[in-house]
Amino acid sequence: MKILVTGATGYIGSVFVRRALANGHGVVTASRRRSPVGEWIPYQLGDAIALSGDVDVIVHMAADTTGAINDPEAEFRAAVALMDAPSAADIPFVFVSSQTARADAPTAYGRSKWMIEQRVLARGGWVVRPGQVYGGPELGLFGTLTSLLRRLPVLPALVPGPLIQPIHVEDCAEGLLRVALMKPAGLHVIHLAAAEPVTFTEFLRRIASDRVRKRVVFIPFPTVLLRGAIYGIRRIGVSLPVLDKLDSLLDVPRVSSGDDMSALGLALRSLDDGMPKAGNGRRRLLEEGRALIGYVLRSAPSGQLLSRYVRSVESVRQGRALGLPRSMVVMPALVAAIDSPAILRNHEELRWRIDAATVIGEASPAGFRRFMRGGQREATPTAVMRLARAVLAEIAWRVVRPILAPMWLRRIGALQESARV
Amino acid sequence: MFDVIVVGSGPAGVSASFPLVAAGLRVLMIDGGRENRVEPPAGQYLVERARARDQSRWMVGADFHALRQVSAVSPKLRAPTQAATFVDFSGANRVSGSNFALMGSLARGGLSNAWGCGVAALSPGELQAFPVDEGEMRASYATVSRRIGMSGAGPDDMKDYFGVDEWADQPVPLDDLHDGVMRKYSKARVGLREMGFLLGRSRVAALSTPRSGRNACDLSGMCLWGCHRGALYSSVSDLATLRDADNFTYRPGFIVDRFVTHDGYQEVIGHQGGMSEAIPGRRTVLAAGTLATTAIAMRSLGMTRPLAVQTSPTAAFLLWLPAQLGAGRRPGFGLGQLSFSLALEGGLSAFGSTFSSTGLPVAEFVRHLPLSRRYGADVLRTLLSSCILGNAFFPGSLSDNSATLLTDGTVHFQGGFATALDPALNEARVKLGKAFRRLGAWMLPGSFTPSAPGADIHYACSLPMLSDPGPGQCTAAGELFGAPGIFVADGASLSALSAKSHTLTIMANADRIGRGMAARLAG
Repeated sequence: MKILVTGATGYIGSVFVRRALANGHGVVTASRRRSPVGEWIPYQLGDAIALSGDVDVIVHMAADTTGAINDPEAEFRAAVALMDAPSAADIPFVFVSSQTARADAPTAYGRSKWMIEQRVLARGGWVVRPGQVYGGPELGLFGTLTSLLRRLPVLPALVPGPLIQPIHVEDCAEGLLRVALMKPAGLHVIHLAAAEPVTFTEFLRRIASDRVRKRVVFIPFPTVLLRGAIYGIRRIGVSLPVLDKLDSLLDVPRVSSGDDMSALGLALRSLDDGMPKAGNGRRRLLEEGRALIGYVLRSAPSGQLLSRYVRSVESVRQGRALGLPRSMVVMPALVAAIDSPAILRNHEELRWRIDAATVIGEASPAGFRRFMRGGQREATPTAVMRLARAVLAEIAWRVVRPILAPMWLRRIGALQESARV
Repeated sequence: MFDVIVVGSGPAGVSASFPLVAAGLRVLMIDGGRENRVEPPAGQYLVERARARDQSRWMVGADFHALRQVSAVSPKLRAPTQAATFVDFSGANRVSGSNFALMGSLARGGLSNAWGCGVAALSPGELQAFPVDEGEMRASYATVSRRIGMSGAGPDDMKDYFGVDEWADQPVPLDDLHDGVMRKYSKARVGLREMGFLLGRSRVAALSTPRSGRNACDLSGMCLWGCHRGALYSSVSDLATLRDADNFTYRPGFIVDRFVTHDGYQEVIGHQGGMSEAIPGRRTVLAAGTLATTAIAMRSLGMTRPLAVQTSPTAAFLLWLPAQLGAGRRPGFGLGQLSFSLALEGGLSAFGSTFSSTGLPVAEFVRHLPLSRRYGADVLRTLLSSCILGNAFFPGSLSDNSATLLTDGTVHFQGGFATALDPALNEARVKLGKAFRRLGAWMLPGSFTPSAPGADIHYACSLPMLSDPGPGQCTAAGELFGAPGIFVADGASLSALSAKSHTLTIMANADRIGRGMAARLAG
């Protein structure tokens, strides 16, 4: 599929483009600056656009966040110019909006998003409203907050704390990609956000502890005073997009995103998984590789094999850890509790991972020793004894597996639906 | 204008081209032009596996090709060194399939980049289904066989079955396991022959003596991954020879969609890099591989009636040699070492070969064991070095596939088997089990696994040559009915498909068709 992307150099945009390309889709980026990847056509917000015939879907997420003056009117006109371009008339349109989009939003930002949304829906397009996006490159509001936390030892903890529904930028990009691919009929406004909100302060705390890795003191601060401050800054004539975003943040309504997530088959990573710098839960994937390759190879895998395993899951699958129990990481033999042909038939993702561990583990000198005895002879009595031992172990596991497997599989089952690309 | 446009650079395309080029005709060859980017590994399989830290490069692939293809039907489709051989075929050629393994190639050299190298000539009896002169065909077999080089000749029970010994060199050495089986056969052969089981050396297009720029097999065991020595025949080497001729032009990267016939010439219509183009020629040879050729023909002539397509139904099995339990691994040939023919009820026969398991990843086997992975690996670690693999092919008459032209120009292949296949499979399983047991090899229970339709990749007979052809058929000269000047030179125009390896017959037939065209065009 060929996707035209505006705003491809932005926070969500850059991650989205990389992901779309990695999944084998064609990407045309429309932006002022040449995008380092994909095809590029020069595009300035507000320009009409002339598309070549083979674009299958337009994903519009350009927003002017760089200029000193944020002009919601201009943004509206730009979106309209794009979707009404004659060459774009019949192409499905996905608009990346905001949770604050409402007809009566307190900010012009929220109102303009709402106006654009109406136009998009009227032409049969899709509106995606991401929650609080975090993780990955330090861009957008997440970037602002991160650098703020790096610089300041003390931050206000807003009281009463506004609630936000976070989503990792990779999950957000995957959700967008799925919308663009599936074009879900009957679901034209899609909320991409964690179903359960957290307080904004808790969110900042997580950035501080897991991302910036720094102790930050939070001092309770009445929300109303922040509102006042923003109002004051505006009054003296300073208008920054980030102020709008902060303002909007204080006004985010809680949305029920659970149904949208399941319609897209998307399961979001937790803040625990997403917030560390390797925001894709790489540490957990490493542990998973250690457990699975160790289980198959019967020895601790080298760093090279582990990194191959992690990269394979990242590039071929969705890059998420299955969430194997801790005990399996410590004692890889326990993986046998969830590995039987019958179980793997019903757990496709688990099967893929065990296959990957086998294939990757084998392609190494250690794998050669493990799978082919390094090509060496084996005395007949030893061979017979080894065969008998393997069969006995298999039988023993068949006895205990029904007791152990259900508990452990439940955790994995929930994740694996979303783990496939 | 070119005298002849040849579509495809696989074994059929090059075989048809040689006589045309020799006759001084101006020949243009076009193909998908894909080239494999991952170099086949140099060195010995056992040595590389024991030492090389980067073996993942060719076993898994930097882009994890082996994992992306984890559910594909054959290990060849997982080999990173063969990725370009199979990639994009169905999309580019606008073919689709259901219950049908759809494989073909856009690569330079086509499927000969990854073939099993089995060679055999049809017997005079088998050739009776073909409307061709037996002497002509024999001469073409000789020409092609001498050109590609083959080995395996010997005074064994399969000599007559293969019928290629006059052109074949001595065989590459057997490994210890196969040697043991062959020795036992020489003692038990009388009884086995009575039950219709014959065993002998495989005749293969692998060099046991070096020739023109290609090295002889050094038993590296790398066959699956691509022979860096060039001991295995691939039409890429013939293409290089053809390109030395001034009257031969090669244009890679052009994908043919259809042809149009005019008075005295044809246009081949396709695209290159997104640009459509029509190339005119006085004659056209379709050698794009059976599936692509069938699609091009059906699309061009608007054949709304479905065509029958034959494949050789196939099954694989694992043989355990208890006397060899604990054997060490030795360097050896990775393709067929011994071959058998087996007579079946109703005048049918099966053909198959046996292979060493050494050059294959154990992961290929452990996935299919009814055991958990760790203990499955334990079992194979001990057992596999005393096992050999077998396959069995059945005649195309036991397949039941069809090709249908859809309204959007896609050609859809529907796979299936004749009802007579099941009893034949059962009979073969039982008889092979018995025969090999006498040779000290036990067929592991549950290991005899039939493949899905088309997985054999022996596609053929969709546009068969007949003495009195009608729509969807070819003349004895290979000319497609209703399309003057269009000749079908690949598996599509075979008149029948036996259980025998059919590539050499495709090549000989292409040579014969090329000669006929040359005689008429030059004369």
